[in-house]
Amino acid sequence: MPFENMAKLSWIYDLYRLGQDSAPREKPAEVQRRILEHIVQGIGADTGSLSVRADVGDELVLTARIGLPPQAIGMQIKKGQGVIGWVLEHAEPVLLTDDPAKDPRFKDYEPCRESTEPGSSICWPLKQENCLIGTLCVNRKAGSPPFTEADMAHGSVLVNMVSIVIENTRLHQEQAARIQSLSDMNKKLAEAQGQLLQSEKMASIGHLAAGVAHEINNPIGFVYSNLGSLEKYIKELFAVLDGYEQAQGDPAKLAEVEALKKKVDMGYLKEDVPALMNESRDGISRVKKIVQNLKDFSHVDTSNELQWTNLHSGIDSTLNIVWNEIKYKAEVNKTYGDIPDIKCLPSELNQVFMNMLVNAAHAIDERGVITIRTGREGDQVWVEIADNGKGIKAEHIKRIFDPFFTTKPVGKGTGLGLSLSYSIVQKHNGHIDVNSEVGKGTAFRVWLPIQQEEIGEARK
Amino acid sequence: MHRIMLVDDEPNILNALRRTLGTRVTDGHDVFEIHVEIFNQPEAALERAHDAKFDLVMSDYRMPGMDGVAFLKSFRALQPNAVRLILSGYADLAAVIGAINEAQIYRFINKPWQDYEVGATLTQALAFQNLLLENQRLADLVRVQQGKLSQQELELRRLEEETPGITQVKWGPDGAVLLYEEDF
Repeated sequence: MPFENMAKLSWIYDLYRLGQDSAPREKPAEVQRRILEHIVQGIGADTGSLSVRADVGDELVLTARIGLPPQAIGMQIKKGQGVIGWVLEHAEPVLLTDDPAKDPRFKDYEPCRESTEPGSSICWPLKQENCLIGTLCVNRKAGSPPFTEADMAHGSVLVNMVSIVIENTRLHQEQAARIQSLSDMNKKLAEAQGQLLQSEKMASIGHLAAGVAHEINNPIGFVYSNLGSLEKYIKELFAVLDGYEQAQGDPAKLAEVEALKKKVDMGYLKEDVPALMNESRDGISRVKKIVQNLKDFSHVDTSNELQWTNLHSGIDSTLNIVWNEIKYKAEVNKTYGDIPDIKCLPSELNQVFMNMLVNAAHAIDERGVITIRTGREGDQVWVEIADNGKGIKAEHIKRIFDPFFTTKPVGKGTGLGLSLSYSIVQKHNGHIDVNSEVGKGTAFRVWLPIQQEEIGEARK
Repeated sequence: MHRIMLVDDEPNILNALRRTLGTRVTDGHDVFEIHVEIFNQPEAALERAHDAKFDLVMSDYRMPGMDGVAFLKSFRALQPNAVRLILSGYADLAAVIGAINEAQIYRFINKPWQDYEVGATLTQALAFQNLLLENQRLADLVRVQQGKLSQQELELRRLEEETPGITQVKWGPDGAVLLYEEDF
């Protein structure tokens, strides 16, 4: 008896595996076709078809056929439409040993079994928790021994398992789709966060640009003006020189030259030209330093590769960038400890330091002190930026790392600075400690591992 | 001789300005003989304003301790007739509004500046100030002639303009005459 095959454990096991293994990776139609093939073989049928409930509505959709022309796949079957429609409506198995056209149960029967001489067929409903999820039909050609009532009863038991497998497949598919959409969303989030980071960077750079412009315009202003003065001086000097050249041939003109010399105040020129040169050189080197600092700060390393970095030089160049912001507000004390180079993304960490320094300056109302300290503890280093400003209120401290949380007036802060600092530090597998007392000041301590191989995922 | 005060927290700026201005400024039309005094602390500049009269004061905007607007406001309280200017590398809208509404400045000059522009602006500012003072003098004269102002009051105004603060005697609690007002 071919049906005995179905009762074999190995056959059941294979069926079970079909629904498990291949499901997430392949299209559901292919998985269903294989399940059907397995059943058709197991039952010893010649052909078979499988329909499952459509995503929406009450109809069934023909999803797999074995030994039958595949054109009908995808066809919709309504309640009461043909044999399958009858099973869908009554949720009972049906055994056919005669031409269904003669059976009164199938009055609207449309011959969808193209096999020329239908011998016998069984069509089972597939149920899942009393809910019909599809139908399974197997057919034998006229020449083969026809199905019997016993076959149908026998199969009903096994078909339950087919239901489970089909349902399993569907769940697997759903899960895979959900995972896919979650990871898509995750990717979008990561992109959005990257953009946020970039826009916060741009916002803070824009904010600083004003200060930097001031700092650059000052030296440019006086160096440019000094060049004008120098030009004037040189004209006067050349006039005196010309006078002397003429006086060489004509000593009578010497008195004239002396008068000119007095008029241009050679004494003053001798004194002022070196001063002018020194001041101008100082101005130019200041501009050079600012440009160098901007370069160090941005690090022109957009790559996401960890570099061995001296944190102190990063802090220094950042400090120079924000110096305009700070110098009118606070004096800066640096107590650098003996810390090794660490493996990190320097430009991102500079962004963290910049944010904390600007915050510290903003926290100071009139005039205060900002203290920068560094140190090492085990395989971690820390950088502490502390101010003696107004401090953070207890009810705010839990929210300071929340995106868009700010107590600064509109237009002064984006509320993203600390939130992005947090994710940058987290990405470096570090953490930030905050200590704040209203009226006394705030200290942020950034902890970073000295060595790490890979950048972690920012969770926030 | 017109007395000019320059205030900036950056000594190099002050030196460069003093060099380029020299002893006379011109815009190609008017010419003024000038004497320049420089201060790199607004507080020291205000102290000096108690003692000496200036025709024109030009200040930086961003300075530690006191910004340009606050400084010029205080200066205006001491010497309302001096023309006020700001020379700044950067100022946001709030600063410009403060400079115009509170310090009532005559011009705002950007850093880096053009030497000729600074010279010409200062000349025009001095010419403007001359015109204002002339106007005031003539108006006072008319008032005296019309009997609205006594000869003494006119003399008081002249003295006050010449030496700011001389007509306003401040008394201490013990009856002493205070020469400096510490808390302006």
